[in-house]
Amino acid sequence: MIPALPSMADSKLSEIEKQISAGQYYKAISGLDKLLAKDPHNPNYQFNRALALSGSGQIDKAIKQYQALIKAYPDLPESYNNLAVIYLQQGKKELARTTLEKALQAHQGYAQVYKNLQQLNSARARDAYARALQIPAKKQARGLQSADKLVLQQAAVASVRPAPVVTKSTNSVVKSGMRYQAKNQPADRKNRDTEKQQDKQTSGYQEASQVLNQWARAWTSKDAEQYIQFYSKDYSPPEISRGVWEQQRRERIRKPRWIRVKLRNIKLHSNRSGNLIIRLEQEYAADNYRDVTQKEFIMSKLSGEWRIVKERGLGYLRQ
Amino acid sequence: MKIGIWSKGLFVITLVLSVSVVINASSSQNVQETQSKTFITTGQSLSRQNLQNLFDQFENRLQQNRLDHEASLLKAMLYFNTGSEQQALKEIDTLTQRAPDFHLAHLVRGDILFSRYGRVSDIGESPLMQEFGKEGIEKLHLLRAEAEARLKAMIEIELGNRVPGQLLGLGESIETAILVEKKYNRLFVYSRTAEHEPPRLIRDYYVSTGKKRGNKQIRGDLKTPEGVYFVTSWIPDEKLPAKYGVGAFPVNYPNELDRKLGKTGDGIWLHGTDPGYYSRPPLDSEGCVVLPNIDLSGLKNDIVPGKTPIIITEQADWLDRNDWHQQRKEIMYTLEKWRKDWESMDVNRYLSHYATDFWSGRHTLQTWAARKRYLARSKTYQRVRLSDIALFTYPARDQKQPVVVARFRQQYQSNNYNGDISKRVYLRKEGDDWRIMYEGG
Repeated sequence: MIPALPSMADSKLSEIEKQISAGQYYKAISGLDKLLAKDPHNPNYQFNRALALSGSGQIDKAIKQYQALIKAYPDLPESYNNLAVIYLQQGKKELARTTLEKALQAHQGYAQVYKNLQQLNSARARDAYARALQIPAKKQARGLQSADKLVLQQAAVASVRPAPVVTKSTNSVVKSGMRYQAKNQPADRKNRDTEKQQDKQTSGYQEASQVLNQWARAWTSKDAEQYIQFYSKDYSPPEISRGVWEQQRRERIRKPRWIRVKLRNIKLHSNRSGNLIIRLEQEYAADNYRDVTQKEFIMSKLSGEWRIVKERGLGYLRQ
Repeated sequence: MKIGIWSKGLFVITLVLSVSVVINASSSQNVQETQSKTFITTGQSLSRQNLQNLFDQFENRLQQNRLDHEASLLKAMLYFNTGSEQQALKEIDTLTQRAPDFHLAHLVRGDILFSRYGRVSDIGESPLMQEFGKEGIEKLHLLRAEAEARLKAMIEIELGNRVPGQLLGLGESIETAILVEKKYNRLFVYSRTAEHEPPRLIRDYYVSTGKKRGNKQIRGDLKTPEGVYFVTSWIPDEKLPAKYGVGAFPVNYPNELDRKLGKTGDGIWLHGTDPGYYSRPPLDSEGCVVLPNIDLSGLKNDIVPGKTPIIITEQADWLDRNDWHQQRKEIMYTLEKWRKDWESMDVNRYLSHYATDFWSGRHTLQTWAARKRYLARSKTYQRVRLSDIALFTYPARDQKQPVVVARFRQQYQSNNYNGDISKRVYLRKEGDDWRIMYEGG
């Protein structure tokens, strides 16, 4: 399975990750080259280098980097996953699919891979149906979108945090009712209903964490209006009115020159009413302020979309 | 956990067997389980042995003809329905490459692919179908009907040693006879064997027939006629609108009996398929019998206009060989007796073979009898020789009593007249005897 990653007090690596998410790919690459000179086999360095390479548009080099990583660490599904994303971008559907299947082989509990495979197969099935009926699918555009590289890449980035804690966190998201695992259980008819529920839950978990990622992205891109959209209409902030809260959020989002938000260690539970309770670590950084806080969200599916109905801080982890 | 299986619908199978099912999304995972499965469907049951026989049958067909697309499709479907998803996909991938216009194959391929992450309970029964709108659902139903027809023929038609009572002999000059069984949307090609022996089944094909079920009565009723017909000519592709495919063999509907019964309409052809389509839905024509182009081309050399019979029936009489011989013997005996009585110069004995409602051209039995009596006066001797006798039993739909069409060569010799003609005679069973209801050149 996943090799014990060298534990590192890796301020340098997290610096580089910030550079990557800030789009400073060349800076990140040269930083990583220095780190790799000392520690050439470090999978995190290699992985981030591949991310930076593909971010900077050096696709062939990125492919080579991922391939090297796969050769050295065949058990890391993320490398296959991201490689598949690149293949798909290049229009190599079949290669993308076989690469994803290898990722599943590498690690069965990686939900993203499973989901991507589904999307690819779904696109193939849709194409076949379209040929059978000689009608283009109405949702064809959306179907293509479903193999969304951004989502993939984002998920991949989130999944390979260097700290072992975070690696675990990925798994915790993934394992909580994995469809794949459900499928893998011995066939027990009694399990069917539970299984269906689990399926539902898993997709709920995935959707909700996706929405939170989008929420963070809206924040990062300083899009206050979109950021507010992720809160349900009846979201009421503690102690202040909704109107005042919205006002405050707009100001605080617009004010800094830049903002970075990273979510990690995401843990999801569903409560009886079908809402999701999510706890996570939020790393916030702006030109004028930074902190890491523990947060709790309650999310609810309202007219088909997961929305935040409650948000509260559970304390600072770092300030 | 089964994926890769249609759990209901078309497969007319109740089948309990042990199967290894690959339950993983990944090809390489090969997590297998062995369990007892019941394929819930309606109707006839298929044993494991039957299943193996079917696979063998498809294999044989494909070995004989690599381009037997139906065998390939059915093989893939059978793989899929028994849980061998990988093999099913492999087969269907090959098929869709070889026959890109075979739309049903694409549908099945969609199901196999979809089954990797979702349930497909029936052919094309997948949530993705909603993306194709109302038109998509309509087309889906047509494709499903085609699948159903092909599967039904595969499962229900078990001929064994049986032979069609419709073909009681091909004589010496007919090499090939065609039998269409509308119930199964199936066209059978039979080939002549030794004299007095039943013809041999060469191949059978899926065909489309008239939009409306039932026997054709009038022009425009969109039904395919049932009867004993003969191919009259060949019209090549160049002389036809594209929708007839590689060409057409018109048949002689309405024949003598049809006209007598007041049936109308014409232009009943055996023809090919529009370019861009491998096949058409089972009930889709205006009365014609439609073959895939590849099959019509394959058949083309076996069909001789003016000669080749095409018997169209709702359902054929499948006889064991003894019964076939028995039925044939009865007719041959009748013809021989008629011939002898004719030669005997005893006009009454000769006329006893004719039915009271007999007709021939404008003749009724009365005018026919009068003419025969008149001619007999000038005869001092007559010799009649029948050869090349072909016998076809009429589909039993309009007739209360069995009718057989005999087509033969008649060589007539007498003191004042000689003739050598091809004759067509309709015989009807009345009580224990067969009587001639129609006679024509």
